[in-house]
Amino acid sequence: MSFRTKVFLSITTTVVISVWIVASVVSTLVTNSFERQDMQRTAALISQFRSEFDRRGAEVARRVDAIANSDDVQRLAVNLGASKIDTAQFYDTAQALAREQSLNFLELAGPDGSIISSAEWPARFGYKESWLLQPVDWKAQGFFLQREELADGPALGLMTVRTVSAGDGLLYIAGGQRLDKAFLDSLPPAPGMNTRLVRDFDAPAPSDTPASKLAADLIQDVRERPRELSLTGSDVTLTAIPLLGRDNKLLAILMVENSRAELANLKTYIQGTAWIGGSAGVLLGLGFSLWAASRVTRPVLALASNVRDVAGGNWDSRARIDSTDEVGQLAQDFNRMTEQLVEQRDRMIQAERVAAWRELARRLAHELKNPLFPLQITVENLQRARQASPQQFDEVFRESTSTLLAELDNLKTIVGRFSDFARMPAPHLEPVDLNQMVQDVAKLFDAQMEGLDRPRIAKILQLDDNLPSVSADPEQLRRALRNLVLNALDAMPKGGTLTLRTQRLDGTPDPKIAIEVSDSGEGLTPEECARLFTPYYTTKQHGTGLGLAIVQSVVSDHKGTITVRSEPGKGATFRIELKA
Amino acid sequence: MTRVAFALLFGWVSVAIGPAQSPPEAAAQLAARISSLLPRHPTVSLELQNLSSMTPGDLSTFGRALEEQLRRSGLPMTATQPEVRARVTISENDRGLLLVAEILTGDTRTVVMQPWIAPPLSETKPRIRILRRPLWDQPEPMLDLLLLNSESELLVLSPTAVSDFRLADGKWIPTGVAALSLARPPARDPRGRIESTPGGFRVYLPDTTCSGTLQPMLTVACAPGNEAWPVNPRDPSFVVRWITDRNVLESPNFQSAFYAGANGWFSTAVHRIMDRAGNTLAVADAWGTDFATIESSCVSNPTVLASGSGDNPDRDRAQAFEIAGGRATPVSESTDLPGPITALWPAETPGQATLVIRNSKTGNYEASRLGVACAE
Amino acid sequence: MRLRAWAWLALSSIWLTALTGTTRPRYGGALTVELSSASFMLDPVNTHGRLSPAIAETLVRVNARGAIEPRLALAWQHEPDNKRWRFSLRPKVSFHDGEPLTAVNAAPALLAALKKKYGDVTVTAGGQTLVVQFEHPMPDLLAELTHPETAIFHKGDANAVIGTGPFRVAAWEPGRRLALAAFEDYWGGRPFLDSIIISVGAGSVRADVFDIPFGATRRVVPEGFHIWTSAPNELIALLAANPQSTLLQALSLAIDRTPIVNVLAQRRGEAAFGILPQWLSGYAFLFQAAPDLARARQLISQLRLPSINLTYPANDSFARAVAERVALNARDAGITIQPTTNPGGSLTLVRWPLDSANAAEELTRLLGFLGASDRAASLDPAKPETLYEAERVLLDDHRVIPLVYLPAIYGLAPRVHNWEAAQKLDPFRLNLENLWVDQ
Repeated sequence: MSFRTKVFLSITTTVVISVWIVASVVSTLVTNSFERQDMQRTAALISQFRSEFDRRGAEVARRVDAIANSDDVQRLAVNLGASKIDTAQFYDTAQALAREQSLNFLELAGPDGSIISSAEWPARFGYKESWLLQPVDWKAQGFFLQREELADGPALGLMTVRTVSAGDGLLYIAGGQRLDKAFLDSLPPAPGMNTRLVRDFDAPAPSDTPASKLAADLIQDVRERPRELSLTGSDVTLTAIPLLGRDNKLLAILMVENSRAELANLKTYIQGTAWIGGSAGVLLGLGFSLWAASRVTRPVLALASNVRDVAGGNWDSRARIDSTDEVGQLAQDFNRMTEQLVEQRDRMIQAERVAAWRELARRLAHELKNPLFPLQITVENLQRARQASPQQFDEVFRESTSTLLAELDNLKTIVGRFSDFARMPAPHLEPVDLNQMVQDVAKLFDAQMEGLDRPRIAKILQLDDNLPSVSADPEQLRRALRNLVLNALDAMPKGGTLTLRTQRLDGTPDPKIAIEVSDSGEGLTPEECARLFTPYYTTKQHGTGLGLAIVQSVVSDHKGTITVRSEPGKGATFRIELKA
Repeated sequence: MTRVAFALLFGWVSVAIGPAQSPPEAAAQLAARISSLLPRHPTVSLELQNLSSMTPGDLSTFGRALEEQLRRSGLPMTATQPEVRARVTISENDRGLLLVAEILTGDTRTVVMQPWIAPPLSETKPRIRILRRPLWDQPEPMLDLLLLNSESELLVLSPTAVSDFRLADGKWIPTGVAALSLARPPARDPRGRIESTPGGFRVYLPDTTCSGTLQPMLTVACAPGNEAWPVNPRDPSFVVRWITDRNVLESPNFQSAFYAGANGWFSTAVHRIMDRAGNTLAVADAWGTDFATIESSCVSNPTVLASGSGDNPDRDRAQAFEIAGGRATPVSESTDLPGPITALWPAETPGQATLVIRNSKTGNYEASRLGVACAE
Repeated sequence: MRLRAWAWLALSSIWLTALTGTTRPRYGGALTVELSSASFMLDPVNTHGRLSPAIAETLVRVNARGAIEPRLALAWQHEPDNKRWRFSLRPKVSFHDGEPLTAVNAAPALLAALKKKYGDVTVTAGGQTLVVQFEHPMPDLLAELTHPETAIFHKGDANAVIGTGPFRVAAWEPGRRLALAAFEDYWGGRPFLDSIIISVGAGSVRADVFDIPFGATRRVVPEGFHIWTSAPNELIALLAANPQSTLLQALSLAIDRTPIVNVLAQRRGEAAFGILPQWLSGYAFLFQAAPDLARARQLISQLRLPSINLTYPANDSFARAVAERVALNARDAGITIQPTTNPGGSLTLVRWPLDSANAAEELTRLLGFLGASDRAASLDPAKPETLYEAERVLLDDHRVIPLVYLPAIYGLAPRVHNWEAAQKLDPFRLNLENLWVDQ
């Protein structure tokens, strides 16, 4: 993940998380505040309802008292007290009295509960209102809620009953006012609040909205157990207050509906703001990350590019120093480091060169010393012979010149080898079938391995069928392989097994191939492994010691690697890895 | 041509109405029709019902005749478990009487109708005469009066006082006046009652009751209260309550009460006589609103003196009626009076009633005693 | 709402030969009449002519006993086939405009009236004789000629009605006010009153005569006024639009008429079980039946019923009260009835005033109204069973459910005299010609 991405992510994450936290907290606080306010308003409304209810009830009681004391009613009571009164003439008395006192309900009933006159349902004269005959102290009962049957359906009334003595019995005056929407409308309104009276509990819900379903559930719950109850839905809070009648029967439910629309709007608003904030944060992060990139990442990337250059071999790559901050400092340090590396490299090259020259000189001296000594002896013999015995001089001259020529050939060979090594050209790359090359090289040495003058060496070929062709110089590669096989054979004087292996390496970033030459000789020590590829380093008794150096040179020219692994007594395996 | 027209007209009318039939004749005709519907001659029970103005006497005559005719036509009459019930109603419409016979066999009902032009009712001869004896008159209203001490002392009840008079030389001399302390002001149409008690007298007024003594002098003490009034001195147990607000006795339907027999009887504004249970006993035509019972040896049934009805404020009448068989039948001529009756009560003396009228000419209130005598 | 007809108290067989007041009537004075309904005032002659005898007279009239009396026609004959009738007009009768009554100027009104019902009628006039000719037998022509529609009159200037009656039209504001003035040259003698003012209203305390309709908020009757009640002459009944026998039978069983009579009609009415009242038919008691709520419920239990609309006349508080009571009774039986003033209900509450004391004619009229005129052929006035049978069939269908019979109630000022005696003469008309007032 790039630095820019990291910065972008860290900034945006920080901003988004902060915004989200703030939004959640605000939303929760707002919700709590709203709910608290709703509860307060509902409580206030209920309180107003109750006090209006009480006030109305007292008013109803007062008006019914006035009716009970009116002349019409007193006259009726007196007449009732006498036996055989015809109450028919009072049939419409209640309507007039109710009108006078602004009551919606008024019934005058005789001692047996028969209605003498009814204001709300005039046709009901003669019907019995047996509930009036219950042994109740009506005055003490005060006012109460009652379900009244009317011609067009039931209604809820705030009722009170008074009695007037009528001979041996009582005249009942039951009056009241309707408790309906008009009553609710008389309460001061609160914005966002709706009140309604539910009288018909079994009526189907007016609509299929969640609010209606919630109301239905609430009503059902309160019906089962009448008590004040609130339910909160997605867009509304409903509070149900049961209204009980005289015998604690549930007559109606006052539903207070508090709209949560405002809250929902506010929450939406907060969410929206949070979204905007978050998006701004993201943009900010993006912007900042871009800025950071320009300020931090780019120089770092430039620096990385320089590093890669250096790693790629361009030791002259220098980082730009655009600032004096840490990045600038880093660039400075980088440049210093590369300079030092260049110096060191140069010194090392120089040293290596000197070491290589020294090694070459030593090797050369060692190689040349051998043929030079016989040369010197021979020349000295010639000198002596010339002086001592002129007659033997010819023979000595012949022997000596032959020896001189042989040794001069030897010298020429040695010099030729060195010359070859020095003269190794750049490879000509072409596709090479390595498996075939390995087989060809192995075939070259079949005779040697099967030879009668030495112990037998077995040959094992483990060639990967999926080996791709390699872009290589076949001649040089063949030479390298020959050298390795030679070395392997030389490492098994007492016989053994020579194993030639090719392997496709599906590695990354690029596929490679590996060629292994393994012997089962005595193996090499770690020190020997370290020095193996030095020119003229040899463990063999003969040879120039250039073989592995040539192999290394070829491998290096092919941009490959060569490694050796060995343990004393367990043979050695030379592994060449080349790019496919 | 005109005569033919008239004959036709008469014929039409008479065909519609028919000749008058006596009860036996009507019964025979009806019986024939009933029996023609029952050829198998099942056992028959007969019920009679009267919804007409026919007198009980005529009704029973008819009923007997009908049963006899049914028997004669071969129908076995029985009262228990008959196969057929014959319910005969003497009904009446605007054209006259209508006999309606329902033949009830199980669930089926066959109806037979027969108009009946009953002969004119026998003229009721007056059997008693009303005698009127003026007693006293004064400008103030009089509600009631008492004659005491062998009719030598007169107590007059006015709305606000009781006055005492002694007879001297054929004239009534006032000897004392006692004012009444009333619980409420006198009514517009004052009613009141005064009765004799062992120690003196008792006065009943709307919402006020007073007791008084005559010896050594006229004194009266009153107390508020709506006591029941004694209507008939002959039966102190029969009392009625005065409904002050409505100016009626006992019930708003009743304008006055009188007593006869064992039950209290009342009359209503629509001329029905009802007992206290509200059952109609008789229908009276055109009665007024004041009544008093009067005992008479000339008439065996209860007799009532009644005021007249009508809207004439200047005159009134009193007439005696006999209450029998569900009807009130006049048994006397009506006595014309020079003004409306304001009080009419049974008197403390049997066979008499107290009458007070307001003379429309003089404006005075005139009290008299009414009695009856047998007409020759 | 029609004018109340008058009817004689049938139970009365003893009538005082004279009222307690035997003062002789006085001439002069104006009578003010206030009536709560203006229906009669649309046309002083027609609209079933409650007033017409005062203005325009028929050839014959029916008296209280149902008998036909001469009026403008003094005598009549008819051919045996009843197709041709001859009427001799009363001499020395003049119209309000002074024109003498002759067959020629009587014929047009008569022909026009008869033509409305009988297309085959012709009327020929000569001298004082009118000949009425039909193509078909008309045995009941006399009854027909008692109807106010056949009154003899003609129109004068400005559409004024010119009749022969005791009063002439002095001023007429249709629907509001009718002023009548005594016709000095009336053949029966100038009426006592100088004038009669009839207006529509419901509360004037200055009227001498006013009607007290049922259901009106208690009309204040001034002190001294006399309340006069006629015999029941208006039927309140339920009419069913469609025959639904079981439902209607159940409804009939559910309705308790007694409270309607006792309370709503303040004991002034009579429970109606038959179509004609007892005093007119004499057999109405046969239809009497007590309410049977249990049986009603049992009948209903097998039916699935929607709510039924009961239409009652608008602006009629009494009809509304009756309708509501009926609905309540029905509810007790499990029938849902909705009273409404909207027309077209399955049930209709009708007010059916009697028009004459002729039982057969009234029943014929009602059968015609119910679309059962064919049954009227079987009615024989001489045989009350035929009337009973026709009523019984009608009631068995339950298409008509009689409820209550109402009387006409009038308030009479103390200065008004001769009211009862006047009404005795013709029970169904407002008989004004015999009234007199104190001045």
